[in-house]
Amino acid sequence: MNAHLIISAFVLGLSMSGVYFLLTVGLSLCYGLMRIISLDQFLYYSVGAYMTYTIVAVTGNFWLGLLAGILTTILIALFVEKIVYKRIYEKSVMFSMILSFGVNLMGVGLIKYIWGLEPKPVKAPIGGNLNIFGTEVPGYRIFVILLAALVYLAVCYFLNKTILGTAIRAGIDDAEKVEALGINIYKLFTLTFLLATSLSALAGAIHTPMVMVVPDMGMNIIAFAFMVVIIGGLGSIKGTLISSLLVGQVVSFGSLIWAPLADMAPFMIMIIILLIKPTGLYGSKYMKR
Amino acid sequence: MKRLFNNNLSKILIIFTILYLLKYVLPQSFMLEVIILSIYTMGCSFLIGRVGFVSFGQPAYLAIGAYGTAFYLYYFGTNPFVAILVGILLGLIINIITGAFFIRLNSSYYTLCNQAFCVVNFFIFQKALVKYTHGDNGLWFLSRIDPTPVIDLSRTEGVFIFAFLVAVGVWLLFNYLMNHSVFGATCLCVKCNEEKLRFLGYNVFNIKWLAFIIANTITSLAGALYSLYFGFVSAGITAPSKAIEPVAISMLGGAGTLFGPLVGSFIFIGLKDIASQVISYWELLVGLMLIIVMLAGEKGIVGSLEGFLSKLINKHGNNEGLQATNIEGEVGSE
Amino acid sequence: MPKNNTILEVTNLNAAYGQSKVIFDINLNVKLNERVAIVGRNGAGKTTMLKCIAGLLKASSGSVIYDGMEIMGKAPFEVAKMGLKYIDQDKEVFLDLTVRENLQLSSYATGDYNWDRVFEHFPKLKILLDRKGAYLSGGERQMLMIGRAILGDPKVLLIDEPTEGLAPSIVNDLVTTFHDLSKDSAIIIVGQNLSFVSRVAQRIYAVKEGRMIAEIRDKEEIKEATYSRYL
Ligand SMILES: Nc1ncnc2c1ncn2[C@@H]1O[C@H](COP(=O)(O)OP(=O)(O)OP(=O)(O)O)[C@@H](O)[C@H]1O
Ligand SMILES: [Mg+2]
Repeated sequence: MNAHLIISAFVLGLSMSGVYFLLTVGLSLCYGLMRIISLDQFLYYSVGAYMTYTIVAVTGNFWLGLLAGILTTILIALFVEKIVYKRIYEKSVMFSMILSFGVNLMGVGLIKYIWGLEPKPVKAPIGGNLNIFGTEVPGYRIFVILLAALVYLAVCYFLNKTILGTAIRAGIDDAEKVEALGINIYKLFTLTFLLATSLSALAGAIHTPMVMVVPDMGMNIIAFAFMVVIIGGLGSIKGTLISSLLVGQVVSFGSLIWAPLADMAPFMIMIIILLIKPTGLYGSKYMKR
Repeated sequence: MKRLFNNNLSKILIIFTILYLLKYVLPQSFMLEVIILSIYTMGCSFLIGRVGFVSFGQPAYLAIGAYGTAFYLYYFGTNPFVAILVGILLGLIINIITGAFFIRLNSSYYTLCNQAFCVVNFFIFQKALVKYTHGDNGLWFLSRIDPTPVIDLSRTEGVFIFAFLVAVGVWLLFNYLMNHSVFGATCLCVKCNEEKLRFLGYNVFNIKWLAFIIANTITSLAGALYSLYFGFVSAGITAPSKAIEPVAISMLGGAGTLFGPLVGSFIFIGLKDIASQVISYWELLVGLMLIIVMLAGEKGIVGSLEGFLSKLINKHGNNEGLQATNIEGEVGSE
Repeated sequence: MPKNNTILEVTNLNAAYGQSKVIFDINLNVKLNERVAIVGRNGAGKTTMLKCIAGLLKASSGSVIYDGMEIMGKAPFEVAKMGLKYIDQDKEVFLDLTVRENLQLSSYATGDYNWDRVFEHFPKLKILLDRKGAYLSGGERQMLMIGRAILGDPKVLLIDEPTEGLAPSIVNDLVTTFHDLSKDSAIIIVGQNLSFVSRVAQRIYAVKEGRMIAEIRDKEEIKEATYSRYL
């Protein structure tokens, strides 16, 4: 294995980590605050991708597509939250899992209905290569990595430095006490849900140039996303970051060694980590719900 | 107690007689699919409704049974009975191992890990073991199945009768497990309040493990039956996109009820047959159905019916309906 | 408007967890600037009662009139905003948040950014501003919980077992604090510590198995803690 291969695999791994992180950080936040597992995030990921594809096909502008993707999913998510989640916030986490999977499935059906089955390509908005230690690396991948890093910093800033972020952190600790202080916890829930949604849509949008846009793209990435949140520990942002970095590299180098390893190695790592720590790397054991 | 047992027993007999007679009205393939699907769903429904484990990875256990049977028939022997036994045994062994790991997880992790397990199984059968499984092309072995005496499993008619008898056995087993055994009661306690059960001195780990093994080995058995019925298995059987189906059917019929899986499967396959002629986007319907069932109060058809019936019966001063009421509470364990 | 100066009036309050009823037809009232205590054994239903009043639990029936308004069925955050604050029994502040952030959150909720009153009662909090909740002692947590609750000038404070697990000297401080606090608001405390209750309360309700069994107004009886016979 030569240095070029290693560097390009590393960069590819990082860019995948970026996508995984964007997709799972919302999942983790939603679990932390609302104690729901929102599997419909994978629908928003696909919708983000399809909207990007559509707008790019019409206007040729990727960034416009990205924006449209986020806005569309926010509208859908507002609707879903009102119809579905508002009724089940009090109930056990199983409700949200099954229901949101239902939403996800329905959405996939609708996507097939609207956009058809054939795969759609999207061209990267940033062409060209970057030279890193003598290895040519697609510039778009670097962009994805930087964007994900930026989002991480922004989320951290939001959670730690703004009052709403503080309220969310407090709610992750004990939602009832936040309410007893006089804060409308349901507004916080909606806010967090929309934040998660827009990040998922963003993940879908920026992933488009790296994969084909297909109706099942959400379903295809679902297992990796699960592995990321479980390895990191549900509800922990830091854990999500670390485990997406880990899984990205494992997938990328795994496929370098033996193609099926790309899919199986993360699973094995997840099993090993769960054997040592059944709540994942940073999952709190108090989050039993 | 005796009366109650008889009561449920007779219900099983009546329902299965009706099912059997239905084959003269409905296509046999339809009935066969209903029966195998309901065996498949039974394990899932039991785990959801009676133990509090929701798994999005049931196809994995199905596939293990199916491939066990398929490997035997394709590579080693020709006797279908042995093949089914091989499928069950393979399922049993793998469930004992995976169970010991999965049941240590809390409920949300359990669900997600199972889905991941299903996906990994898919990749194993589709890509990693492609030499032996032929991936998506699958293994064909219908012609290799030997005719057998008494029930001829090389013919669909025989498979139907066999599956039917197996189903009756499975239902008797679960009737005993759910309604007449201490084990079933302790399972329910796991779902409602694990801590308390531990304080009472029960080994919660073993209870969960046993429940997992029983339920998922029944799932593997369903896989073996599928394998025999189609004479063909491909990696598609563990496709993650189908992972939600048993959960959906369980919820539709009523998770943890005795007859929920039957009712759920019947409606599900019926809907599928009708819908496939109208729209080609099956996910849409399943998703919608799942949402409606969950928002309508998660009791499912049988759960709601039983509640309704027992109220009706209680009105007439008969307590017998009481045991039919499904255990109220939420779907998952905390 | 309420007759005389009753700020909180609870009538026929019932509540249940699932099928099991835990409190039955509770009646109580509190006047502005009054200090009232609720005593009862473990599991008598005191916490349940307070949570129902604060809207954190849904009561099955009854009415809660606060400041002349029916607040039954209102969301807990609305109740808190109106100035009826509940302080939990478990002494858990937000572990991940600093004292400052805890106070900021309460300020954000109530729109009251004047922390002077908090520091007046609990000067120690001023030094601890940047410490995380996880590293506060039990007494400091209690200070913080009360401190953040009095932002927004609440008219009623419901305080669940304020002395539980606190050192005697801190308990003494709390007596003074509660006397001071009652200059601005009504205080309902739930307590097991009878000497503390005797020193704080002007009136005492005794609860047994979810029912209000006595109301003690007699000063002498409160002082001598003879109401312990109701427990
Ligand atoms: N979440 C719950 N679910 C079911 N029952 C509960 C719940 N919380 C409390 N109970 C029951 O309700 C009754 C009243 O409880 P409550 O906490 O109000 O008592 P308390 O008077 O505050 O007791 P303590 O002095 O120990 O705090 C108890 O019998 C308790 O077991
Ligand atoms: Mg209490």
